[in-house]
Amino acid sequence: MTQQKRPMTDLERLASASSQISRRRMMKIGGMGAAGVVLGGGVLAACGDDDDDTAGGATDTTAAATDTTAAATSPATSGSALDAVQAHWVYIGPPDDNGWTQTHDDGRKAAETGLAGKAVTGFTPNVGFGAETTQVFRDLAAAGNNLIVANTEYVDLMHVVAAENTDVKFLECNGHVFTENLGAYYMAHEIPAYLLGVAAGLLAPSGKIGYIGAFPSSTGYNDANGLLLGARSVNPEATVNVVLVSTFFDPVKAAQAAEALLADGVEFLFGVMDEPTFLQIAEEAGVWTGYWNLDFRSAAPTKYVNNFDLSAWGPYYTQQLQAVLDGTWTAGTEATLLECPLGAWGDEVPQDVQDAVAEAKTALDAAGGVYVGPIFDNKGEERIPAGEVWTSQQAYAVNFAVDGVTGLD
Amino acid sequence: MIDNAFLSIISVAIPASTVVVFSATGAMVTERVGVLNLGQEGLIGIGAVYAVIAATEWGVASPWLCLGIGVLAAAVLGAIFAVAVVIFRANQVLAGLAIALGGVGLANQLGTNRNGSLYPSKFTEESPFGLGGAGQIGEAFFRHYAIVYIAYLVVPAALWFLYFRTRHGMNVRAVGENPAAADAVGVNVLGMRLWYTILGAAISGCGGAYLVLTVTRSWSPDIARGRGWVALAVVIFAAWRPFRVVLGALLFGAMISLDFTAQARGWDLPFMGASDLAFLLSMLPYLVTLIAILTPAGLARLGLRTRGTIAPGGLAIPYFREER
Repeated sequence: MTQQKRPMTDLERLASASSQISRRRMMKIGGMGAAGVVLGGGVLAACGDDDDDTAGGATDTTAAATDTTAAATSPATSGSALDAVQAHWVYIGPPDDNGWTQTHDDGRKAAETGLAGKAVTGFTPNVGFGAETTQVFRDLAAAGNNLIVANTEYVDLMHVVAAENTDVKFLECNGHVFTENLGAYYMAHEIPAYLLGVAAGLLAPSGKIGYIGAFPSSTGYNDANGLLLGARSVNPEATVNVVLVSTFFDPVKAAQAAEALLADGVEFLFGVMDEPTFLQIAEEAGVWTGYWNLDFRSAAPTKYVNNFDLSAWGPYYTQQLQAVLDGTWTAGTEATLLECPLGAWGDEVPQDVQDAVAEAKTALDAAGGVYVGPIFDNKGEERIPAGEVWTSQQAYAVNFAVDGVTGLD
Repeated sequence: MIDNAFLSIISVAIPASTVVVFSATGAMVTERVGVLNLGQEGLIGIGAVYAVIAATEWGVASPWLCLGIGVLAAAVLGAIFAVAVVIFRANQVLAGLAIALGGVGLANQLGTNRNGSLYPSKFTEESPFGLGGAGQIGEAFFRHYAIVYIAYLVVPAALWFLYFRTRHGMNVRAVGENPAAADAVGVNVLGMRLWYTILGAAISGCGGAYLVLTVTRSWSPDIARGRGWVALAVVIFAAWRPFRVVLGALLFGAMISLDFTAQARGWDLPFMGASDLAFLLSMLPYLVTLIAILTPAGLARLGLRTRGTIAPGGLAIPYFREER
């Protein structure tokens, strides 16, 4: 069973706002103005009514969720086995975004299917970084969920609720705080970034790689550093130009960033964007490109190189739900970093490039990591001494750009 | 490839700003008859989502036809707004906010399951009279979509001619400045307000349709991302003049491109790293918008108030003939 929950849409907000407006206006200037607003708002609200019945306010669905809990199990206490587990996912985007959130929702569905009958899952999409986010988590905790999963780092917006509800377990994607009931998980994506960098270094004669990033976070550092180190392994002249657009989701900005990078002559364009605009622009410009979240070769049929394979969410979520069922779940003291290989090669990627990347993968496994010392940051300071190799856990906390990366410091 | 950084910025900013050009032009057309339509975000969203629906679900191959469908959808929303504020004399600010929020919500609703969907109906770049081949300058200014030239040249030229060279245009301005006086000399105030409010909404919607058919090449929720609000500021900055609107919108887009070009080329300052500079530059478009809005007010305080910086006298005031 799947319960869909989501915060009030703009449309519903409008519907409720327009009724307030009309009352206020009614008192002030009489019925004429009010009729106008109601007409405007009312017609709009009516247009969207078809599929809005499922939406409801947070309270309605919470009540429904409480019912299922009562039927399924008593609230979780650490260490005791359960007959059934109730888990809820909080998403930063819509589950059909053709990107990040979609991969998580596929994982959620896989977990529910995998635990046939013993797991009840739900999700709340489009939860941003606002004060109401804390309320979303509170409602979900109060609704009797055993496990609450966030597919992005909500930090304190989520942590305060975890501290208040010690009987509920929390998992935070890309999180960095660990308590008794709050854990974190992520992908070891510096590895596919490195492998993609090897391919980029071979495909781009000038070695100029463009990267559209969101924020200067360890995710951005690992992407850019991985690309650079991979490309440098085959082309010592390789560089990575980073453009940060301060969002994961603004196609116009992504387009402008892509055009700026292409105007600067990059020959491989990658990005962390959650939409395929830059892929299409790269295809039109005849420049090799790749996508973060999933296989999106349809957006760049002849210039698609590869993507990160995030299919590990499904098995991980299944395992976490099983651990809650068994009463063996623990938060851990460091993030679980899942294995993240490259996906399937684009149709036009030459075989020798694919072979070279396969060799690089073997060499990488032998070396033990992407960050092999000596590594200097792009200000000339030595960050990793010769002879030292960083583990993925160390890479997870990286906070510098290696020499050869520009636009990030 | 354009080496010159300035030309590179311009060549990227021109297509990216076109949505703001359309939206600001639409807002200006509406405000010129004394109606303030704050619903630009919603109009862009509706124009965009219907263009996408036409291109995907209805299989319309011609991008011009998709554009037309988006424009029509925005016009319908504009008509609802026009009836509310002109006929029923609703408060324009509140009704405008309703259009903004409702339009975005409705567009997102209609766009569900269309995120990142690809479609073949897209515009291709044109080079008028072969000017696009004329070196870097030609490449920067004359290698764009046909609709870009319409937004930057054809529409403002037509509006300038209408407003300042025809009797009808004078009546239009009169309706915005002083509807009672216009009414007294026999101008159909309500008719004009209705028509130009709908026309303005259609032009704004054209921006949204343009956005998904050229720049983004796919649908994504909240497609306008605040550009409708920027457009409203641009109109004030531009003092309700068609060509100034175009320039104001381009300035905004150029600020965003400056940010990204600076990053792509690895520019930094001795006292500021690349990331800090990026954050600073990403603030610039909004800072410039703010300064642009404050400038006329500041000039007025210094006694430099010019004719060209004053809003239409009847802006945002419902017209009651009985109160004349």
